Amino acid sequence: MTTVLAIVLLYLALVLAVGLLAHRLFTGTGEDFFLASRTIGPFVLLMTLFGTNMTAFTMLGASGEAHRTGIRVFLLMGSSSALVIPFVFLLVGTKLWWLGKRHGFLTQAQFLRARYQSDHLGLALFVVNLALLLPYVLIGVKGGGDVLTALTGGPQAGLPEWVGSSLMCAVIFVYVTYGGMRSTAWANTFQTLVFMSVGALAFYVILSRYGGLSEAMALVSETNTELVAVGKTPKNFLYMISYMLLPLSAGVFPHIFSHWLSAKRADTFRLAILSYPICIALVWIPSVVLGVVGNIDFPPPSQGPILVRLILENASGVLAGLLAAGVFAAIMSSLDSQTLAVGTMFTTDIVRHYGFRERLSEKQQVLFGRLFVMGFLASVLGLSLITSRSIFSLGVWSLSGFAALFPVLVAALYWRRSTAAGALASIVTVATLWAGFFAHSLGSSGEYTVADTGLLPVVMMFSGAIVSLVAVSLATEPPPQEVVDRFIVATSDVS
Amino acid sequence: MSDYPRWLFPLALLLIAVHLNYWMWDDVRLVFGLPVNLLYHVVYSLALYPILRVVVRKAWPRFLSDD
Repeated sequence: MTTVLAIVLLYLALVLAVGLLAHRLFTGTGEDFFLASRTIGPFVLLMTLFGTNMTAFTMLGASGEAHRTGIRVFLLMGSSSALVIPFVFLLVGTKLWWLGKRHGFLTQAQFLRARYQSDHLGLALFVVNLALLLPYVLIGVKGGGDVLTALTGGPQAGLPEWVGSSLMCAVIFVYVTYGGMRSTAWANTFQTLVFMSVGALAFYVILSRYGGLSEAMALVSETNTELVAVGKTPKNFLYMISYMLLPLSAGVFPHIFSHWLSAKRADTFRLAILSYPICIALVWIPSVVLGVVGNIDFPPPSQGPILVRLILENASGVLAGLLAAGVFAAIMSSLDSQTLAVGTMFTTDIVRHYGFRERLSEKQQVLFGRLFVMGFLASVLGLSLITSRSIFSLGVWSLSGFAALFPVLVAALYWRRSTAAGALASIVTVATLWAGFFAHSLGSSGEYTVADTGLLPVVMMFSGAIVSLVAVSLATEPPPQEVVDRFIVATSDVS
Repeated sequence: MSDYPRWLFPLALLLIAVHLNYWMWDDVRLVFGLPVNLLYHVVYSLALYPILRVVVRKAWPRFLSDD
């Protein structure tokens, strides 16, 4: 217990040092705090985008799901992300970066307000983004607490869950609110390198104990054949198609939006677009394989995260500490970006937008942003102690909501006839359907699908978003030509 | 989508179709130590690199070239 805790504390100190070191380059402007003055290069952009998207959902959720249902989780989330996310970066990310640089946007709400000349739209997006971000941040905070508890002796003998969760939140709060985007990007890069290396180490060490990959998989396949197949059923087919929509959430996450805008040049995106699928394979394969292999000694249901049980069973104190640091790295590399995005959204979309810019000094505005972030993290911390939902299912609900908002952003970028009322109707439809399906799912056991067909609620929300967007846009006055030209024609005309 | 070449959308559809390897979902063989469905998707993910390389080279929008 002492060794694990010492290594985790050392790791947290290193992350803090990296974050604070980056602050030395701080120029003192708002754009520098929120977007690192748009100076982030290709490698750091790749590491931050990838690290930000890899959460407790990947390390703990995916291995846990693979433990219960087998290799199909890689098809559902891994390889579909490898395909969809690079295209989202190319078709949405680069365009938003280009518009953000020209118009000085910091948040999505700013962009939508300007594109549709609608104040309500920005406020609606702020509220929905914050509500959807809550469960996503929650799985990170909860995951950190669960891991430290499990690695230090379990619920009875180990540290209470709130210790791990509070430690993570405290460290993140310090370097995010002190150093802003540059500190977050540097710390993210460090953390992404740590969890990729540690994932490979865990893969090697744990599989060695079972005689290697082939032997371990042969053992699983002898006793649990269903874990190494996908299952050729129409229900599984619909399930798989539904999951292909979830990676579209990467195009709507406010924290990914901030990272896109921090890129130095358009060319900076190229490395991220090309290398994303390789990074996915490097991180997801160990996670999924270890989850499946966990069935050899720990058939479901597992007490605590399966990855942690494997680590405890197969690694010594120092190695267990390193692996714990790796899990913390995966979680924190997302949590810090999400925290920064929440602060940026509140400062920009509420404090500054609603006229407090004139009444409050720059210092007071920043103070309000920090207090809001502190309140947000404290609320998440409190919720993490009382929620009992699995990390995977909470993550899917959050991703579903964000993915269903994707048509609004695409329409803003590509559809000239889309209107403010259409976009607002689409956001309201998503929020209503999300709440309805979520409430309906509370009584069901296992993963909820629409009428048990295999279709996830995201398909209905996504379809509802498109139908309401198109129908209401066509039924309302077209937006002013000169406004649309600033956001759509301009890009085609520039050669 | 006028900023991008016409072949980009069919290419994306083709990649989605290849992703859904329904015909082998009941196959439980292990190949190189990995379940064959998992191996298929590992290879698929890695094969995206050269494909995306072509996409980034040939479909990079003109408006981004100046930035």
